[in-house]
Amino acid sequence: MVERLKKAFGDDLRSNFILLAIIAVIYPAIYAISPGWGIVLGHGITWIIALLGFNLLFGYTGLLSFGHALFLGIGAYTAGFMYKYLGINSIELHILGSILSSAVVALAIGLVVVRYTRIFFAIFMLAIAQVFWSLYYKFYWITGGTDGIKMARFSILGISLEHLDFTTYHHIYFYFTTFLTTILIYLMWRIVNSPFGLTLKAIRDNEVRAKFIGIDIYKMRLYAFIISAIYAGITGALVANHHRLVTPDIAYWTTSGKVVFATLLGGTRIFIGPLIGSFIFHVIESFAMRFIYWQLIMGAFIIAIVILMPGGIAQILRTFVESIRHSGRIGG
Amino acid sequence: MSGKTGRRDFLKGLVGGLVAGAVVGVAGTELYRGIAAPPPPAVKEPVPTTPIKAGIQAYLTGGGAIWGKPMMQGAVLAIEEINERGGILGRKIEYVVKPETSPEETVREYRTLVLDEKIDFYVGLISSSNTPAVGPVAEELQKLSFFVDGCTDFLFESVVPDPRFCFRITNIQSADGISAALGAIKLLNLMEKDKVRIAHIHPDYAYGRNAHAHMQITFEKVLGKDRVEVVYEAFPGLFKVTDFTPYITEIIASKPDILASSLWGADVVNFYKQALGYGLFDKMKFVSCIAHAASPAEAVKDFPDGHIAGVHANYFFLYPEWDKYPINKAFVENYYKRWGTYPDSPAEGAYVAVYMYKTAVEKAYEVLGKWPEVDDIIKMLEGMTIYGPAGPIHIRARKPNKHQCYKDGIVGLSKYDPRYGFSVLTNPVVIPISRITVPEGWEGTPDPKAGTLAYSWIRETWKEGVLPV
Amino acid sequence: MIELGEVVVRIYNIFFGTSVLFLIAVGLNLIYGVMRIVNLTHPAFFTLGCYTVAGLGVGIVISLLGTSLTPLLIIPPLIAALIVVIASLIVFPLFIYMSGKGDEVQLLVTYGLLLIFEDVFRLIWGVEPLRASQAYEMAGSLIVGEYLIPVYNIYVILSALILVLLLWLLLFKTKIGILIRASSMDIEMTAALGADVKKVLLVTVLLAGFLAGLGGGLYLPSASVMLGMSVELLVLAFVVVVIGGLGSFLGSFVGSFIVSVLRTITLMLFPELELALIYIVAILILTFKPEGLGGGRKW
Repeated sequence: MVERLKKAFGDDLRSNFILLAIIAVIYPAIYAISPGWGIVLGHGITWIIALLGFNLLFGYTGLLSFGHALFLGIGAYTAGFMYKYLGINSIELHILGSILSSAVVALAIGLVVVRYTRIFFAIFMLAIAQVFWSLYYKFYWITGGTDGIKMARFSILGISLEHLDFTTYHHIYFYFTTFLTTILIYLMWRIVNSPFGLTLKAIRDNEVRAKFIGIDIYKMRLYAFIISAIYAGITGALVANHHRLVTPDIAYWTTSGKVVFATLLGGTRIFIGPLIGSFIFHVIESFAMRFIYWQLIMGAFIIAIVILMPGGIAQILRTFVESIRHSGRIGG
Repeated sequence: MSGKTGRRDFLKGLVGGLVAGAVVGVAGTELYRGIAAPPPPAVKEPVPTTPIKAGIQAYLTGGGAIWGKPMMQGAVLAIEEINERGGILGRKIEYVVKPETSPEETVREYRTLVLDEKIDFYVGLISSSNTPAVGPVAEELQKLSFFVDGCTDFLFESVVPDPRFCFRITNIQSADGISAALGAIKLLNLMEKDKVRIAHIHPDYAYGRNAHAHMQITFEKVLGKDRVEVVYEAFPGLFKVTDFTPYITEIIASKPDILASSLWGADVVNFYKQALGYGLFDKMKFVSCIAHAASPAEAVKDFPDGHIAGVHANYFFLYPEWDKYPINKAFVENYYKRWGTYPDSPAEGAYVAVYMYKTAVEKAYEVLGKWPEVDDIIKMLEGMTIYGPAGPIHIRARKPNKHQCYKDGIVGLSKYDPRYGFSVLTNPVVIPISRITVPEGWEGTPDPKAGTLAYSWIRETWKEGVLPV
Repeated sequence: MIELGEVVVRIYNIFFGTSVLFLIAVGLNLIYGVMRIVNLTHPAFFTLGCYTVAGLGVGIVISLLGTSLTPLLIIPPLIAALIVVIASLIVFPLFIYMSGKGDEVQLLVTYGLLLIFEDVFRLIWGVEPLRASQAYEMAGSLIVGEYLIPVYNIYVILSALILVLLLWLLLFKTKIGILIRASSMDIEMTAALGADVKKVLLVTVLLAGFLAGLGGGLYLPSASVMLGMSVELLVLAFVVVVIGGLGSFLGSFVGSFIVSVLRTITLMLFPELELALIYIVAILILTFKPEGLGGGRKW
């Protein structure tokens, strides 16, 4: 079991890329059949990044943030403000800006919050996220309040996309995000397999022992917190450009709930978890939203998954694949 | 009771289609007023027999349901009436309903309607946060969309200044605040007072901020700036507060003469019920631009008498008086028969929207001799005037506020009516819409603070101390 | 110059707010205290209490006893509490499952339940906001100087006071109360000493549900209930609990009181800051006094 978990942390990079490639190939067909589901795939690919960041904090570091919407909000409003006040609609600059802003905010907040763990950390993050939410909500003159900030289409490599039809525009968004996600998955893989990543796991598994062997727990957690925030911030900037609308909703605690749920759905102690979680979550959500009683469906799903497959879907898939491989080997 | 039955009997005589007949007939003459009708094409192509698909999007839950439900009922009534008489050029109308919620989710559902459900036209939206979110998407996806409400001035002034595909039925939002303030000045004789102390309470989003700005500028312009004193202002979140007692206490403590408010839906109900217990209504006059506008049977059941009853500058089912305007009478009776309740502003708006679509399609067919493309329908809609239950309604064809509909506003005093079992609008004052909205072709710039053209227009063109209506 | 009447009305508002928040927060703290479960479902029990009164309780009373004030004051909240106790009983197995599991399991299961409850409300009571303000209106208002204050709200305050007293008696003077408190200190030790821990947990969950249901039942006549209310209440309830101290009985009261005072002061002086301020206070307390202002004691 330990051996298998150990493997699960590390060698998943290739399966990540294979899955991404499959999705990138089937996406145009899905969009052609149903643009609505094509857009759902767009959400899925966008959210992987935030979930990767969340999983670094939760799965690898053991800190459950119930306020990750804070950083999605920072990223989204950075993009929104850059457009509204500086007239910048370059998506690359939006992403750079949100990386900077979420890193700065995460540093300031992290200095205080990473002193706490478990439920206190969760509630602390929730409260801070709610403060930011209420500021977006109340500073109507700056943020547009609940009306939010409307954005024009982004430009990419300095090329304006205003004249394109919606389908082409969405395809460009999708493939740009897939490209970015691929890079960020690779970077995260390097991070969790670096000495730093192994240290985080050591802290998570046994804080006392980690402290005893001389690890600066506080500093390590702070770094993980900042990286996690940057990933969430990037998703925020992308969501802003995907919806072309930034409202306080993205910073509301229900968004935090979505991050937590989607990650758990995929599986937290497994590197491919966020990717699978993001897609499955958005599919379930869209499916459930087609019914009037979608919250009931959603709630039942959540409870069933937590009780019936606590390791997440990725873990189940992995066990399944391995058992096939195993039996195949014996048979051969 | 006998009165009700009588009305229903009368209705049976009308089933032949008085409403549609009147709407379409009069609209036809209006459309071609002043120009010679072109000769109809010699050959008419057959019309497809597949049904038309309408998308309806309305608040179905939470504090906005008081508006969303009648809106949906208005649209469905119109669709059923049309289908009963054979549809539009023989094509029946089907419909799909999706929920209106927060802007992002609303846009997502809108996209589903257009891209996956493949609707032909769209009727929906109540919230002023949602039209600026959906408007650009409607233009992008090129889908003919009638926004029933979501009246913010920003939509056609800054967000979609040159719309092709989206239209909006309700009167523009600035007209709402202005007509309520003018109604208050007239009905409460504020011109005679030396000083007017005003408190404000509005929901915290575009609509509330906008209503606040326009009520305030109207009071300041008409009464004179130095005669108006603002003593308290609060902006509770929309549908986020159920206990208004701390606000009520602060409002009473600030001793205003009038309390200006644009609270709506569940908020206004909670507010006035709680305020009754604190005696707020005995100490000041409540000036609401919107409380009587939707579901009055639920929203203002035991609303106190003698306060300003605003209907969002749109429609109250008693006016235009039934005996003088049978279109309204027939609508009220049909609606009552179908839904067991009286129609209101959102119901009327959605109902008119569906008939606008029908009228435009039929007129275009008459000219072109085939089922029209969306661009042909739009050409027919622009500049069209039809007669809806609330009276004539005109679609503006030119900037500013292109594709915005205009009809005269109404405001009155609240009074409990035992015949209906809820508070109704009495002493109606009709506010001619042309006197309170920016005229076609006016070339000003939006006020930087309030953000609207109407605000600058009042500031620049109204004379201080003079009632414009 | 602030008049006396104004001061009285504000103090009275603060007490009303405190009473309502207390009835929500105390159950949240009870469950956390004993079971170490952060129960996100809890506000849905309060909302269920509201719905029961509006959609069922008042109707029953009026059809059986006519529209008279005393039964309207007393019976509907009790019906609400009963219904919520039944609902708590139905979900109790999930609570047993969750106790001892990780935080994330608890958060997700209780969040899932919250979503389910919201749609059950929709299924049963529809989408429109419901009211049942007969009792509020019939109770009339009291004149204080130049002000009127609704008598019904005084009734809510008094009921909350009586409940506090009864709860204190239950927790400190009865055997089950002692077991509940003992379990909250060390559940394993309590079990080792031969107590039926499962029964203690059941009583805790039902008691929390009872208080939330009664709270919702008492609150509803002065306001209305609508879908989404549980979600709005949730974060507020957490702020109360954080300010007072997680799992603390006294803290529930302190937290409710502070949040009500903050709300009154912000609305008086700078109404635009209402939302931000209570969260900021919660953060300050978490930073400097994470055990809360309830004195850090469990009871």
